[in-house]
Amino acid sequence: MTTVDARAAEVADYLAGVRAALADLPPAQLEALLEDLPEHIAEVAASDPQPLADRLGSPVSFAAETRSAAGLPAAPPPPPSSPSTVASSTAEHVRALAVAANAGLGRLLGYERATLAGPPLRPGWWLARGLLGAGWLLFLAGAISPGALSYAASPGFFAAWLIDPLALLAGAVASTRLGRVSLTNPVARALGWVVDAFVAVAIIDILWILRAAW
Amino acid sequence: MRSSVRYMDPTQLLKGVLDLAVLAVLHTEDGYGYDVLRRLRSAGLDDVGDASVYGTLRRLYQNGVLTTYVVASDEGPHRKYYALNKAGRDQLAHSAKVWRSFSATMDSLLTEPGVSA
Repeated sequence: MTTVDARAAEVADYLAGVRAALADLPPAQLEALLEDLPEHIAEVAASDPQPLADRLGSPVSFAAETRSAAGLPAAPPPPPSSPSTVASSTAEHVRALAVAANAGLGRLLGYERATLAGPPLRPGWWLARGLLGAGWLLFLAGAISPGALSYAASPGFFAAWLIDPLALLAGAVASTRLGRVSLTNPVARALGWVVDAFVAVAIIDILWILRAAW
Repeated sequence: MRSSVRYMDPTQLLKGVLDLAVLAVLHTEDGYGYDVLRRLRSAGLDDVGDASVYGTLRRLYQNGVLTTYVVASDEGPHRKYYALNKAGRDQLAHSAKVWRSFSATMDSLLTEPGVSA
């Protein structure tokens, strides 16, 4: 490829880029705007040896500046990723509803938004999930093999009555510590989700047992 | 750009007067797009951009204050020249008057005692 060909290709590419960035304009307006741009860019390329983008900026920014100087509206924002406008307007409604609910519930809780109440409540949840998780584990251990705990607590090792409170305390401490670390550590955050899921199952199970007991 | 100290930005100033500058250049002599740009720059408007001048020419043309004609050239592309028509000369005269009055006001503000640099 000769230098001349390369330069011509550069001009063609640049023009295509500008045209693409203006593609939202009505065809007549687009043609009127671009009418002598090929000539103009060719002049620039012929008289200024530096790469076009160095002198003119990117095709997108050139298009934006041309548009604004020509008094045409700015390019619309990129289309939403959802496949249809109907879907996107539905999504918009849902979003608006969520924002309103967030504000309403927040007022009820004494916060500007309900989501703002989340962070201060986190340590409470960490504590609760630690207690619940440990309690459930104790319960399971007792249910699966009733003898195991009393064996672990057998003579001289532990007093049996100490097992439950110590396990609960350990659960609460571990869970709180994990929660604190998970604020900055993604691995801990993932682990926290596993614990959350485990405790959610425990809660459902406990509710089930309570219901059966009634 | 956000900063606590804001100096005057010539590109911002230019936006308001680019029409007038382009009309003035074309009043002196008809010109094609790249030529108009070069003349603006050599007149001292170093910051003026290709896209701004190009877009301004297209808008002035669409607004009916410029006419165009094509001049064939032996070597290189044909060139489209822009020229002022009657409406363009009127707009130039009117805008020039507005600019002179504005500029005189700014000058007198800046020559108040204590402001002079």
